[in-house]
Amino acid sequence: MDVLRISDDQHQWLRALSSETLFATEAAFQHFVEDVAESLVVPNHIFRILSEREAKEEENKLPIHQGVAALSSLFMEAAKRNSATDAVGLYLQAIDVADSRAKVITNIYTARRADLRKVLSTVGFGFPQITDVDWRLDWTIKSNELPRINEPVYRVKLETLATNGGLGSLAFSLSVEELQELVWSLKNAIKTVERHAQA
Amino acid sequence: MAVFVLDTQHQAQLLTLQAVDPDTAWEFCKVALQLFRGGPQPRMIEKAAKKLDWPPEKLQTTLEAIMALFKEAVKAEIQPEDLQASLTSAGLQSHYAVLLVAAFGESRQEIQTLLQDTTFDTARLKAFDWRFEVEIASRTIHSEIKPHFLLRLELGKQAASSVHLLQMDIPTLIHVTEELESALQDVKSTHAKKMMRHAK
Repeated sequence: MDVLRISDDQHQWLRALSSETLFATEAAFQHFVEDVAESLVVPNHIFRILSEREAKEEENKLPIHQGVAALSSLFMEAAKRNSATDAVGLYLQAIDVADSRAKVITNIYTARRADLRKVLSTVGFGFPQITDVDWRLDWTIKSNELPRINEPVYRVKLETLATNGGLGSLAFSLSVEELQELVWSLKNAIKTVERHAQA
Repeated sequence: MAVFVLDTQHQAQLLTLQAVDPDTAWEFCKVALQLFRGGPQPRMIEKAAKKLDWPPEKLQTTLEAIMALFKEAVKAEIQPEDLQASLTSAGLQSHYAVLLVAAFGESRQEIQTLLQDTTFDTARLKAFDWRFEVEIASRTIHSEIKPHFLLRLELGKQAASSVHLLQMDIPTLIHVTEELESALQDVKSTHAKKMMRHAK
């Protein structure tokens, strides 16, 4: 069975977040946890909490960093398994995280679970994705090999997006008959997909 | 009536065709067409030459002469009767001439298409295949339903080809199909028809 679990070190770091020297108010802790969740979902997010504390409390820096790591792991592992809010709550209770802190964490998890799963879904590998298609219809008149060709030819360009983010394109030409065959095949594919979607 | 003349070197090479029986000559025509499609095949020619007890270069030049004949015939847009007449006037016996004309007639369309391909052009779509898959889990997410449409495109010019594997989601598949379908409508449009009439 696929059970939610993070490391023992991370358990300790979560427990340490209960300290009042780190977070004087409930609100301060809530902002912190929201910040962590935001950082997982939004690219290039800047941590508010860390930049605010920079100048003042040197000695609290480490627990804060550890807290970020532990919360990130918890959120990701729970979202990966689509864990229920109760399951996360029970887990936090089992590792002795203070009830008030646990409540804040599970509330934010519930609120952001869908977003977390969306981000996790985009991590992975695959083939370059076709994003768009351009086409052109040309009329070939002649060439140095043949004095008279007089044929229509289609030029098709597929815009692609690689999994690493690189944009590319793939161009090729085909005759009218070849394009008819391609379109017919694609339409059949769509019918097949629709049939499966309904089943 | 188109006047068709093959250069003297090729003419001489064609005459060596008469050294073999008509069935073998027909085979030569088939092999010549294969060379046209796929480029040089030295090993196959060596093997065939051995069977005939010919030096490989002799077989090669004879096949090249047949290829040159077919190519020029396509370019000249020659009629079968004229081709036959030209061949017999070049010194070829009539039943070999008939044979060549018949072989030419069979492969004419294909040679025309191959000649069109040799122009500097974007790669042609040689083959394509598709597959519809549903991703149900991955390392980062243990259960989800993510449909993928996979496309395998083989592009190339003559013998060389490259294979490309691509994917799209279903909305993109629908969009691409609609776009290409409207492209097909375009060739029937009045504008396109006007252009074709003018070009002719």
